[in-house]
Amino acid sequence: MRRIKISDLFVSLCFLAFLFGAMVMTVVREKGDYSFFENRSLAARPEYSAEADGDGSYVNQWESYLSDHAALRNTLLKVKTRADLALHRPVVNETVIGDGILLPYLPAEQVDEESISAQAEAMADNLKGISGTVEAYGGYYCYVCVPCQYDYYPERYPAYINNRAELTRLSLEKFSQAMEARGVDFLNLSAAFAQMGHPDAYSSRVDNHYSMEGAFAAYQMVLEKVAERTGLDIPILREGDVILEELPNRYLGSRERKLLSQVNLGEHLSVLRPREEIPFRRSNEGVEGAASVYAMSGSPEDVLTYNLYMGGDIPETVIDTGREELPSILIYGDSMTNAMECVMYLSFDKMYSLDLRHYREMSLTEYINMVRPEVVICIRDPEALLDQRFNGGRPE
Amino acid sequence: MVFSSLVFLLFFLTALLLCYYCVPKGARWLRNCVLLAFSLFFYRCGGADYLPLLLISIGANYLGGLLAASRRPALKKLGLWGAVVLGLGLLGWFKYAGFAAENLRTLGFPIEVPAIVLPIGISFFTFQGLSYVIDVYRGDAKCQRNPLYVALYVALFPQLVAGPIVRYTTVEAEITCRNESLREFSQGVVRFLFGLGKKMLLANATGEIADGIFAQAPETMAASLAWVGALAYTLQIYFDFSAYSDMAIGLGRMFGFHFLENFNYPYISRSVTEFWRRWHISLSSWFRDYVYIPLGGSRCSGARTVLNLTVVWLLTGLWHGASWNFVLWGGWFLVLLLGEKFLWGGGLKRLPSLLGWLYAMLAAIFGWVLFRSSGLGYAAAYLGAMLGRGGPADGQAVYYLLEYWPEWIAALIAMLPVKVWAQTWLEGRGDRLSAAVLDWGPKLTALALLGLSYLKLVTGSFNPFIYFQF
Repeated sequence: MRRIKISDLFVSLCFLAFLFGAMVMTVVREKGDYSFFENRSLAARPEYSAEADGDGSYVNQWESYLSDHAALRNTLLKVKTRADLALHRPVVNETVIGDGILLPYLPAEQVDEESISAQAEAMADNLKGISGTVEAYGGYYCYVCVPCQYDYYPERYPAYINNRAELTRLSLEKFSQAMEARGVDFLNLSAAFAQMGHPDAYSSRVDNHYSMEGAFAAYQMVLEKVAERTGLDIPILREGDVILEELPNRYLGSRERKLLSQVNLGEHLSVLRPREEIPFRRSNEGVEGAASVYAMSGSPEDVLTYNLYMGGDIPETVIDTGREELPSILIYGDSMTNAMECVMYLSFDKMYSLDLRHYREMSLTEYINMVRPEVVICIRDPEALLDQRFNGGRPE
Repeated sequence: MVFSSLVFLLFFLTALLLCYYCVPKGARWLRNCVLLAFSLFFYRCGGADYLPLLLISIGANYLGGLLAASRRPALKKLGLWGAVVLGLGLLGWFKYAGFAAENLRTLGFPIEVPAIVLPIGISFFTFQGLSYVIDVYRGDAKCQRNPLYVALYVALFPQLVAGPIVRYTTVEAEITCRNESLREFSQGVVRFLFGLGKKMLLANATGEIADGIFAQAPETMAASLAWVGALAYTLQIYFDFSAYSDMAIGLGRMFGFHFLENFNYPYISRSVTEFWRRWHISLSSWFRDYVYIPLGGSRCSGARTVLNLTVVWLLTGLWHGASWNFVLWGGWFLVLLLGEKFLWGGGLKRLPSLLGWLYAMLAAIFGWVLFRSSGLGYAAAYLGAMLGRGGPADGQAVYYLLEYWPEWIAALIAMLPVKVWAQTWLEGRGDRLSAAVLDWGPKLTALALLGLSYLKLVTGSFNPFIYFQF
């Protein structure tokens, strides 16, 4: 009888202690507003409204808020990730756990050729408009597709998980045809890298982006195309003109970050410097800052992310090398532009860079007409190739 | 607010336990007032706009009960039919008006389809309130003259929004006189935590699989994927609903109430008849006692029995939702139950157990596909996919099996009466170690489930309750 009482008391006390303890810890826990590992804003404290109270959504908002700010949340996220890895789930935190590689999980999808064709036509129409704006003042426009990680390593996916190979192939094929029909230059570096046999050094195994080596190879191919199509005398740096230096810091790629740093495949980032130094001035959104294209860390112990290149996604950056004999360039696109920008400015007088996901000052065409660069390049990957939002936006 | 939420666990339940147990045991009325206030607040959390509806239902059932207890037959009938008409009228308007208007519009009548939001738990508290009035009318229960106690019976938060449908006679005595004790409380905690674990670890995982597959177009779906989806939903609906019932029973026990069981391992059934004796027992017995038997049950001609069963299963289908696929779902089980009653029931009993089980499982799985489908067209296409119209296999099925392999194994074990087998075996041994395992095993497991459930609550966002929509 006594033993039964002890077990009853034990389970009751543990239950109550857990509830009250978790409640107190949740209430007193310091509330942040951003989750680094999840790369998202945390839910804000709900504000009362009679409407939300009436339909029950007010309490649901509190649930989201508490879930984001619950006691031990970060520790538990790591515990769950570790447990899922230990259980050998093929996908953990939307990351496919491969042999020596971490890839994005792509849910199964229907590939509709007709819909892809329609998207490709619409996208090409938009780009024709932008190209027309550039050509109107004698400039040159080229749309560049660089491979993202799933496009670079399709064969590294298990056979039972979607690698989007068919969708990518059809998108590139239809888009190439649509661009050709409109006379707009399209440089398919996805195909070029495939022809080279997808060298391992060119892409990351832990992140969506290509490596500095990959960006440098892409830079050369882009400028060869520009030089060929425009006849501009652009200095193109080759392997002998630069020094590639691997940094000792731990690199936390976006996939490792999704796994809350519980996996480390030991990849490192590199920086590329010209053998002959080229001084420059840099401004971000009109504010002059440090003349550097790398957000270097002071200590080799610090963890680096892909934000090393150009300091991450910045709405507008201008780099001025003061070499007026050279043409100017505008690069716009998503984060795929960042690593290439670290080397592209070396071949131009001025380099303008826009990320239209964040830039709000004026439209792309207004910006182009304002700075009138000789060369305008858009850099995107197969995932965003036909996406008309932001950097694929229509000319206003 | 759902039981498997941080708002409920960390704030509502802690505040309720504190307030409830701070009141001396002798002040029963005050403890009941605390419980009623928290229950009404619990319902209000699901939407303050719907609270008046619950209060109207409570008022109608209270007055209906008073009148139904009258000695004058006319008043008795007025009480009964008043409560029935008002209760079913509200249910009909909120749940079926849109469906009816939509169908009339399809038939060519120039009717506007009203946009009505279904109040949470209306099907449950309507049926519960009606059972009270009917029982008083029949003389099976005493009339409760204290309106607060009627309110507490109808609104008692553990079973308010998703059942089980608790009969008044089950808790009649406990409303005014119950014995809260450490033993009862700890048993309630263990039951609640097993339900919470079932919900967070099994129902949500199988729900993710089912939602991922049922969101796809069934026209081109491979048979392997369609079967994985159907099996996942079969497991989800059981673990989801039975988990809620476990939590409701456990919470009731923490406050001294004893609700009847709502599930009894339905997926070990060897016939559809047996399945419905084990599944959602409170609803089946409600329809049996308040519809089927009053219509004459099976003690009448064969044709009349068929009619009675048809009425019951049409209503059972419609109770679950205002949609033709729910009617078809009810019809599916009607056909199988009639078949077992009049045609193949005898043969079924002579079959080996495994074949009987396979038959009952297939009947349940096909039934759940009808239940889960967004419409008749989708259901037909999905069943076609299960029969191989979209090809035999694809990689997605492998992905869902490998990604959720721990949950598949745990779910298949948990749907069997493993706990009962283990308990029987340990009790049979009769030694001290077995006694200790019997005493401590469930409690330590429950605490481990609490830890795992909290982990899932904090780190996951997929947490729906299927039966809230009813």
